[in-house]
Amino acid sequence: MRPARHSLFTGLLWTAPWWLGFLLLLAGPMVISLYISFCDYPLLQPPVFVGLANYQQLVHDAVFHKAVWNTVIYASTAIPVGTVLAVLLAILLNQRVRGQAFFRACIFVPTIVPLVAAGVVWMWMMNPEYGLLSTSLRTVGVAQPPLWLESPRWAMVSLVLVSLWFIGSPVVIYLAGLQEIPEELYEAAKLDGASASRQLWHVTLPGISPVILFNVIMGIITSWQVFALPYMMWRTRPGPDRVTYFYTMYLFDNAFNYLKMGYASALAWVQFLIILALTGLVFLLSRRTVHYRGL
Amino acid sequence: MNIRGVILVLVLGLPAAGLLAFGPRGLHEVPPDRTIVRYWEKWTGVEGQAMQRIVDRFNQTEGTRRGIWVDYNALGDVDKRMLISAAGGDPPDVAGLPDRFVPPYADQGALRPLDDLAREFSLDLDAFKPIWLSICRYDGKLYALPSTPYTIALYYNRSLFRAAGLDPDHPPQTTAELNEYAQRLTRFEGGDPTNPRAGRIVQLGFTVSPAMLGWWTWIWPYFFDGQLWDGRRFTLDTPATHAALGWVRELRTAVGNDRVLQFEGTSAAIESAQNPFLSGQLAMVFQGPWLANWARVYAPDLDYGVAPFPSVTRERQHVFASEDVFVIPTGARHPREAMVFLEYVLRQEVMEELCQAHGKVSPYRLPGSEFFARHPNPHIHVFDEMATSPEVFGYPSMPTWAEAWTEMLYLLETVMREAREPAEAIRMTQTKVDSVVADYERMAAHRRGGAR
Amino acid sequence: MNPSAAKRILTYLLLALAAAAFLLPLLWMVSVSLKPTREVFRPDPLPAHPTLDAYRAVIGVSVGQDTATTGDRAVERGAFNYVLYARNTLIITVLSLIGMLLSSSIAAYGFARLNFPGRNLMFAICLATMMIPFPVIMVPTYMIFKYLGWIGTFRPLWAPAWFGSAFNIFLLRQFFLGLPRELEESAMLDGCSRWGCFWRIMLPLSKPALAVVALFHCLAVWNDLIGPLIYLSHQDQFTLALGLQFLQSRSGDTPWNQLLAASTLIVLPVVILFLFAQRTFIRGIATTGLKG
Repeated sequence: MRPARHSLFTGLLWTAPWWLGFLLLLAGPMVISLYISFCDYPLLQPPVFVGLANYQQLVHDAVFHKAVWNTVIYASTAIPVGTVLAVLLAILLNQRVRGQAFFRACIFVPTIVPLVAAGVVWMWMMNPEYGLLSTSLRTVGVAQPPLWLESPRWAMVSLVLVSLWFIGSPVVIYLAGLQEIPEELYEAAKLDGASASRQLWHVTLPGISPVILFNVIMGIITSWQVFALPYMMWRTRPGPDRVTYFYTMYLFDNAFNYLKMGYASALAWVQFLIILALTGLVFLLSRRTVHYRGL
Repeated sequence: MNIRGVILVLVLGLPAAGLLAFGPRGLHEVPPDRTIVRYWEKWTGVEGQAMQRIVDRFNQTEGTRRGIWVDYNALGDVDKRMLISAAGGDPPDVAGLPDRFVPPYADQGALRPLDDLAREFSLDLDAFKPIWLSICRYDGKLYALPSTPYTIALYYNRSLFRAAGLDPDHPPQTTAELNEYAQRLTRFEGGDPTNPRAGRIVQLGFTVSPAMLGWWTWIWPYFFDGQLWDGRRFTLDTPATHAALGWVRELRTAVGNDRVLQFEGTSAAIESAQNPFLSGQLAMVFQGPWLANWARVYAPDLDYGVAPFPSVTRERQHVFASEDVFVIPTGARHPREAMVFLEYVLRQEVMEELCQAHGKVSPYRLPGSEFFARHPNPHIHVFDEMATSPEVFGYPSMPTWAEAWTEMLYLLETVMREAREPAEAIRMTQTKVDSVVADYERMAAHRRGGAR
Repeated sequence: MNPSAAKRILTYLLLALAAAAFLLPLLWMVSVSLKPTREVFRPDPLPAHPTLDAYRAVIGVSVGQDTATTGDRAVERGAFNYVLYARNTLIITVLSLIGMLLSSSIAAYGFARLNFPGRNLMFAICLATMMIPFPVIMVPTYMIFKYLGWIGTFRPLWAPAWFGSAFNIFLLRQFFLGLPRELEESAMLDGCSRWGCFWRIMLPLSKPALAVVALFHCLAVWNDLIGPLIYLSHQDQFTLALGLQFLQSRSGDTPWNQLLAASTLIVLPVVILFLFAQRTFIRGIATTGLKG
C-alpha cells in the first residue's frame, strides 16, 4: 500500500455521507440487535438479559437445523445453475442480431415484476394439470409430470426454476463484462486456430471472471436471505418436514409471529456471520482463478 | 439530445412530472378542534366500504357532538403493524384484529384491559352470546370487544349428493358418516372398466387439505371430543387426536392417497374464482358464512346446503366459533375517545348493519327482527344457532398459540402425505410444543422474578 | 449451407427459445389481467371475453353498469388506487434518487481517489454492511425514526438514501478507479479544487455509471415492501408494491385480475425505459468494470 497522501480529515470529509449513515442508521441498530440477541425480548416488554441462552438454543433447535439445511441446498443449487445460465444467456445476447434490444428486454423485464404477481403467475405456470410446464412436458411425452410446488421432492427444484426467471440483473452485468473483453484477444485466439469452445474457456471466462466473482457474492447474499418468493408460494402449503422453509422465514416467524425478538436477533447475527464467512471463503478461493487485467 | 432521449422524455418523463405536479394527494380534511382517533383495520373492498360508511356517519353525528374524528385506515398485516408500532410506542387508538391475537398480545401487555371502560360506558355485555364475549377474555380480563363473528359449518353440494344417490336433505351426522359420504361423492375418470378407481379423481368428496379451503389445520381433534389446551398444558397426545388423525388418513386412503394428492395439486393452488367447492370439484367443505357471498358472485346457480360439521357422536355437537375483534392497544393516546366510537359501533343496529354487509352472524343473543330476513346468506340462521351449542369452542387461549399452530400444520401435512405414522408424528409434535411452552414458562418466571 | 449461416440460425433459435421461456409467464399475466373476474382461473390461456374492467378498477375509472353484463360483482373502487400509489412511489423514488446519486458518488470518489489512513478498513466495513439482514435492525431503526417523529411520513423511506448505499458506492468506486488520473491531475495543476474536479470533470464523465445506479436504485425502491409496510401507517400513503401486497393479503377473494392489471401497469414504464436505454445501461456497467 502506498503511504497516505491525504489527511484523515479530508478522507473523512469526502466519505462522510457513508460513515454518517453507517453510524446513525446501521451501527447503533447493529449494536442494539447484538445486545438483544443475548436477551429475552418479546417486543412488547423490555428486553431481559439471558446470556448465551438464545445461542445455546440454536444448537438444539431442529427447525433451525432444517431451515439452515434447506437454505444451504437452495443456495448451492441456485447459485451454480444461475451462474451458468446467466453467462450463457449473456453470451447469446451479446451476439450481433436483429432485435437485440428486444431479446435483452425479454430477459430483463421479469426482474421488475412485483413479487406478489410473480408468485401467482408461477403458481399457475406450475399447476400440475393446466400449467404450462406440465402441458409442455406432456406434449414431449412425459406422461406423469411432477406435482412441482406440491411435491416435497420437486418443491426445491421448482423454487430454483422460478429463481432463474429473475436472472436479468446478473445477465445485464455479465453482458457488460463481455463487452469489456478486448476484441484483439479473440482475434489472437482465432489466429492460433482455437475452436469456439476453447475461446470460451481461455478468453471469455477468464475475461469475465471478476464479474462472476461479483455475481456469486451477490448470489450468496441474496440466496441466504431468500424470503418473499417461497413465502408467497407456500404460505398455505408448506409440505411435511418443512421442505420449503428457509432461514429468513424462520427468522421472520420468530420475530413477528412467535414474539421472540431475542432469538430472532441471534438468528440474524448467525446469518450475518455465515454470509460474511462464505464471502470471505469465496474471495480466498478466487485468488487463483480470477484474472484482473492490468493489475 | 438524440431522438431516443426525446421519445423517452415524452413517454415517461412528462407523465411522471404531471403525476407529481397534479396527481391526487389522497389527503382528507379533518375538521378543526376534533380529537383524532386512529383506527386500523384489515378490511378493504366491500367490507371496508361498509365500515367506512359507519365511520362517516359517526363522524357526522356522535363525533361532531363529542369532538371526535375517527380516521379509518385499512392496512394489510394489521397484527404485525400494531406489534411494531406498539413496540415503538406509537400504536393506533383502535385496531381490528383476528381474535387469535388476543391471548398472545394480552399476555405481553400490548392490549389495554377494557373492564373499567366497559363499566364507565355501561356497555350491556350480557346482550352478547356468551361465546363471543369469552373469546374477548384472557386470564379473567376483558381485552377486546366483538366485531364481526362467525361459526364454521359444513357446506355440501346438493346436486352432487343427488347424483351420488344421497339424500340432499340429510347431511352427514357423524364423522364416520362423513367419510362414507366422501367416498361415495368421489368420482374417477380414465380408469379401466374393471377397476374404475384406477383413474384420476375428477371430483372429491371431502378433504382437510389447507390447499383446498381447509384453513383450520389444527381443528380436527375437537370434533373427536378433544381439546388442545387445558389452560396450562398443550394436550395433543390424547385418544381424541389419534382418532382424529386416523380419520384424516382413512379419508384419504379410502380413495387412494396418491390420487388425492394429485387432485389437490391440480385444482387447488389458488382459491377464489377457482374455488373447488364452487366449481363442483369438491362436494363438501368446512367453511365460514362468507362462502355464500362468493357463491352468489362466482357460482349463482350452485345448489348447496349448510349444516353443522359432524362430531364423532351424535350426542355432542362441537362448533368452532371465531370473530374479528376491536382492541385498544396499551399506550393508545385516546382510549376514552376510542371507546366513544366503539360504543357507537357496538349499538345493535349499527353492529348488525356491519355484520350483514360482511356476511357474518350477529354477536347479539337476540338478533334484530330484520337481521335474518335481510341477510345476504340464506343459511345465516344455521351459523347463528351453532354459536349457542354447548360444545362451542374458539381458538385455544394459549399465549404460544402461533408456534403451536405452525406445528399443527406440519403435523397434518405429515399425516396427509403419509410421511410418518400418525402416532409417531403426534408424539413428535407434542414434544416440540411442550418444549415451546416450557421455554415460554421459564422466560415468564424469569421476568416475574426480575420484576420483583 | 455454410457454417456461419448455420451458426446464425442456431443463435436465433436459442434466442427465440430463451425469449419465449422468459416471456410466457408475462404474457399469461397480461392475459389474466384482461379476463373478467369469473374467468380468472379457467385454464384457457386467452380470455374468452376480454375486458378492460380490471384496468379501469385499478386506475379508478368508474366502472358503473357495464360490469353487470359480464357478471362481475360491482367492482370495488378504492381497493387499489394506481394513480395515487404511483404518485407516492414516484415522490419517494425522486427524493431518494437525488440523494442516492449525490451521496454515493461523493463517498465513492473519496474511496477511489483519496489515500487517507484507514481507508481500506472503512471500505471493507462498507462492503460488509451489504450483508446485514434487514430484520435484525428493523426494530431499532424503527425506534430511531419514531424518536425523530418520522413514522407515518415518507421520510424514513427516502432520507436514508442520502447516506448512499454500500452497493452503489462500490459500483461507482469501481467506475472512478477506471478513469485515468491524468484528467484530474492536469486540472488541478490549472488550479481546480478537488471538489471542482469531482463536480466538473468526474461527474459529467460518469453519466453511464450513474444511469446504472439510478436503474438499480429505482428497482429497489419499486420492489421494496418491508420499508413501506412498517413506516407508512395510512392507506393514502401506500406505494405500488405495498398496495399490491394488500390486495393479495385478503384470503379467499383476492381480485387477481386487478392485481395482475396493476402489475402490468407497474412493469410497463420500466419495459419502455429498458428498451430505449439498455445500451446506455450495459455500457454503464461495462465502464464500472467490476475489477477488484
